[in-house]
Amino acid sequence: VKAPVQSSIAVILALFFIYAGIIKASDRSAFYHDIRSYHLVSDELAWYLAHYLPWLEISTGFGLIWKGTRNSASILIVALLIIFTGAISSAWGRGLNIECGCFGKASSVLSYPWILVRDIALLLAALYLAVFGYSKIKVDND
Amino acid sequence: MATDMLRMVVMYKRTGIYALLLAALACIPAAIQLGFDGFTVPVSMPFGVTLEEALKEPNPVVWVDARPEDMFKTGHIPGALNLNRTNWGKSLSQLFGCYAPGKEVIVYCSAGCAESEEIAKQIRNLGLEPVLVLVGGFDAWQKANPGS
Repeated sequence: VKAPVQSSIAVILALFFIYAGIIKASDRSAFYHDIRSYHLVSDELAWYLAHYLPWLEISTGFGLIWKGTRNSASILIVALLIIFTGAISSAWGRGLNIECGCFGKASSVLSYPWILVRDIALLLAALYLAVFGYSKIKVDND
Repeated sequence: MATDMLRMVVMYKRTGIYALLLAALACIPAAIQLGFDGFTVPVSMPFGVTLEEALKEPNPVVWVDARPEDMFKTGHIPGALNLNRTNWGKSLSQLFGCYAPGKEVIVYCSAGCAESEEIAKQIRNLGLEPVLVLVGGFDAWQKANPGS
């Protein structure tokens, strides 16, 4: 039962990240503005992140689909989601009226509670894959 | 027991290597796109927006005219607010009255002037986002709308 559940979660998570990555990679300038609006990094770093993060999302998305790299991809996604959740919480705490940047321009104005609930749900799913994926490999090797 | 430990170490090592490979793999297309877009932030990029881009914006735009009042009176983008260093305190309430989350604030002055950059910076410091600058200023608007 565990394997199909893990595969389903992995595929859903993968599609989510691949879609988000493609949208952002196709409109880097919008994503750059979104990163800048958080006021957390310099303009230069925001420029590089606007180019790198979408492709990291795409590569980890594909990494989730292939079982051999699923653990590694889910660990990367956990790290990414912790950073995203931290950035959103920080923006909320500072009372910023900004766009999420989660899906490029399509994301529109940020609704903090909804985005945080969604990110935490994704984080739990990725954590599940990271933790139970290890157990599965261990059982296989035994 | 020792074999199990060794297996765990190998497994963690493999996971770490794959994670690094996935992260490194993303660098390739990112570097290609940076090659096209430029490895440094283009000068117009942080705040620049062309008139075509501004007109395509689906949400209503708050236009801010940063030129002196006499120039504003002779012509401006319809609906624009006149906000400059001279009337900053007086006109700021109008800006807050027009602004709503999701609306872009676009500041302009005459072509080639730096005042719009400065006013945009000051508005941004108030916490409003996104605040952009119209590339080509009011001249770009006049070219696209002769007689305005």
